Amino acid sequence: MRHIVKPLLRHRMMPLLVVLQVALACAIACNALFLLQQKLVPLLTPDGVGQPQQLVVAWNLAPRGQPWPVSTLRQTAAELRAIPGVTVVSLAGSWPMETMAQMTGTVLADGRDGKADAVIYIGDHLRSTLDLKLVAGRDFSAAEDVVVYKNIGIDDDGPTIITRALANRLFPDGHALGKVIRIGDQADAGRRTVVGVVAHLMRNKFSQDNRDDIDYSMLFPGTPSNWPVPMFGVRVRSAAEVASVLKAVKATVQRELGSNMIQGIDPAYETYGDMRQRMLAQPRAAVWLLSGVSLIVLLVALVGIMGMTSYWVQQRTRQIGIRRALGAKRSDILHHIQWENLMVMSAGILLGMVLAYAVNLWLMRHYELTRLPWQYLPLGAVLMLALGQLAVLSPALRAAKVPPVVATRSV
Amino acid sequence: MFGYYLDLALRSLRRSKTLATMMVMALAVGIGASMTTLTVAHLLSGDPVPGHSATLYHPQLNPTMPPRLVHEPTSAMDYRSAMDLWSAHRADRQTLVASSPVKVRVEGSGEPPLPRQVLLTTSDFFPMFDVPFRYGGPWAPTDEGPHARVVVISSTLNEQLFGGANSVGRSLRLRDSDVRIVGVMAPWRPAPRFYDIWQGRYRHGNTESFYNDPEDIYTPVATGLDIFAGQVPGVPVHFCWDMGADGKSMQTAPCAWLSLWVQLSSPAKVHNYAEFLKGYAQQQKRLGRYTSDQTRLQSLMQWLEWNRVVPGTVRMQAWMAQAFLLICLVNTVGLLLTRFLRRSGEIGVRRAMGASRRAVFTQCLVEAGLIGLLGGVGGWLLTLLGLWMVRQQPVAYADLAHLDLPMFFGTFAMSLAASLLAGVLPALRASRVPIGFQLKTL
Repeated sequence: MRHIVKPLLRHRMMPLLVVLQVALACAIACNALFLLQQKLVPLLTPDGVGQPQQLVVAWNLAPRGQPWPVSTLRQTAAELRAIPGVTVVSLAGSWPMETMAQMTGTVLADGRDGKADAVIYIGDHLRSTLDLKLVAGRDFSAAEDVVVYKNIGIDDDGPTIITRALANRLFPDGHALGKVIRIGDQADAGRRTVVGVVAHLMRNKFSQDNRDDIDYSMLFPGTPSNWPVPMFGVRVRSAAEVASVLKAVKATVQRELGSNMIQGIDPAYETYGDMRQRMLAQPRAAVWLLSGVSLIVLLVALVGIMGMTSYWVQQRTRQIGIRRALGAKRSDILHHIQWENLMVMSAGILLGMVLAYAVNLWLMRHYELTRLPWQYLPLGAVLMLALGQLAVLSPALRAAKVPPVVATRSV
Repeated sequence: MFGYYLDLALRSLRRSKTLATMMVMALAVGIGASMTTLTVAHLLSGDPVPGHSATLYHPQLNPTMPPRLVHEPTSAMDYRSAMDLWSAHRADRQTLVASSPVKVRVEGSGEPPLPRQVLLTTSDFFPMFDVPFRYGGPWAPTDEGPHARVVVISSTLNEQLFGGANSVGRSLRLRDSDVRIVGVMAPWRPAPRFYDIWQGRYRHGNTESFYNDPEDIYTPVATGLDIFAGQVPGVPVHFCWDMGADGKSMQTAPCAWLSLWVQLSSPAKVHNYAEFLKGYAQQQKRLGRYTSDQTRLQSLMQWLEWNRVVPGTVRMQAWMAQAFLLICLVNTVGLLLTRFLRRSGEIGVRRAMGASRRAVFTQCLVEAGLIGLLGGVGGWLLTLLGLWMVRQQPVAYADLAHLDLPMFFGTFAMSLAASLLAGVLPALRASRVPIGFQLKTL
């Protein structure tokens, strides 16, 4: 070991520059990869909605003055259901992905300490319209779906269907069915009995949500009254009929509700797939940017380490020749250079970890980011070590090829 | 001497092409990333009214009442306060603004109505904010009364509806009212749209919408209230502190919805206006119309600062790119060092033949500078590419991302400075090469 460290200390400049470069690259790469992972979450999380291109959404419907009475809205839903090619229609208060209003809050597992921040969707035929996959329990019954709440419905008791992620969070023992969830911690908070569990359902406004929460959703059956921003989800039988249904939905909603809409706020009609595409455009752009940055940072570091090591080796050609003449094998030389690189890189990585952490603290302070999970540090370290070994390979092989005869020249 | 050093530097670059290319590329990528993000940040944090933004002030009061009392002066005011302050004419110029969506169409064209934004304002808006006109001009101050039907439209809307022709005197249908066009603006793109930004401080950096295009239609406040029959749909519910606002005319509704802007050309006038504002708030509190006598008078740039208008993502990208440039710089230091020290023998000979340390140092710096210049050219191309990529992004400020002249020169200055800085240490090291030792090993 000493024969590797000593020359490094004697010629400090080169290794020091490598250490500095590795530290910077490590700090930036760790944070960029962390940001990248954050942006990837909504892109990679399944949203649970089946056949997104065959689901037409009519939203951004805002009434002038008083909210529409439930009877008017149900009448509209019935008209929508009568459109040829439509299989099921949901009249809902809010919607996944994008919506005018969102209902979120802390929900608690009754009688235990499970607690989570979840989003609530209230509406009829929600499960079948969104085409969510039931993994346990049952869908809401027809009797449950016809309930009209006195208000929004958040404070009422009744059944609920939740996502598997939320079920696991609130009831870690795996038996969510039949359990009660309280909506908020007040004494008179609504109590909902879990009747079904669906595989996934991504929440709306995911950019504001904490990453763990992204799949914490609850469905309530029934229809809210006095709700100012209702919306309709329309499930289409086949892909070929989407265009005609979209047109018919637009015409129907305009005919039924158009005269009472606020002027200037335009209702939106689109497929859920398009909606998703639009909402994910920004995280997608960020992912490209961040992966580009990480890649180039690592490439530049690679080039730098390679350049400096190859000079460092070239300068010591004579010494290597002497060592070879004195009996060192090729593999000894190779390993020497590799070990040396490993040590310099390790020093750089240690410094880089501290720096990465500091950068993360600064980012947390100014940009409301979450803490860098510690797993990123060893991951980053391994990545940088591998990169270092890759960079040193060609100079080290060149060093190993130095013939012993070099030692005898021009001493 | 400089020419000779340049010649030496060119020769040396030609000798080791790969290493030279790598260095130039690394520098170019660093400069490109850095300048792209800095250009965007520079454009977004610029002065939206160059020339006299320092004379523009945004007076604020706190008109909110229980139960929704807030503890900060609000961005906007209720109708009565806004009108009191505006009609007092205590500033050189004063204007009111409130934005709202509206449907617009040309009567008899058969086209469906277009959803556009209308700005309810006053005639001072145009001279105050340096709005350029293509045809016609602002409406007369006498048109501020309730029954005038006049509008000014943007060049974009004029292009869409009238194919860019002079449309002054033609009429438009706004909602259910006919209005006459008195002026058509030339293209005007203030960035940000400073006069109606809301609560940027509490948006956690989500301020991209501040960079939307300005409104397409401008009409006097009274005309706007007439057109909307007293309601202004663009006023969000949470700007009203009492829920009884439903159905009431915006003239009496308990809502903060009109922003006041004033032009004050001297510090004395600013001081006097601040006193006037304080006096007004105290008077209103005494009358029981207000619960708070808070006031604030911020200049335009202070207002932008206070609202933290530059989006968080833009600031973060700028920081990230600077860190990235730092890596590229360390890289350049290392590679330049290896480059110079590899030529220790050559330097030894030059020193032995009488070159001073200073001469060797200068020669090395010239070479570093040459690399910097080449890196600058690459960086400039990459900046153009980067800005093109920004323009393809789905963001409100995409159309603003262009390289202006200062940033163009900035690219080269930065590249040169970066490479010279990176060259100092290696050049110092090279100039201290011991002569005798090097000559012995030749």
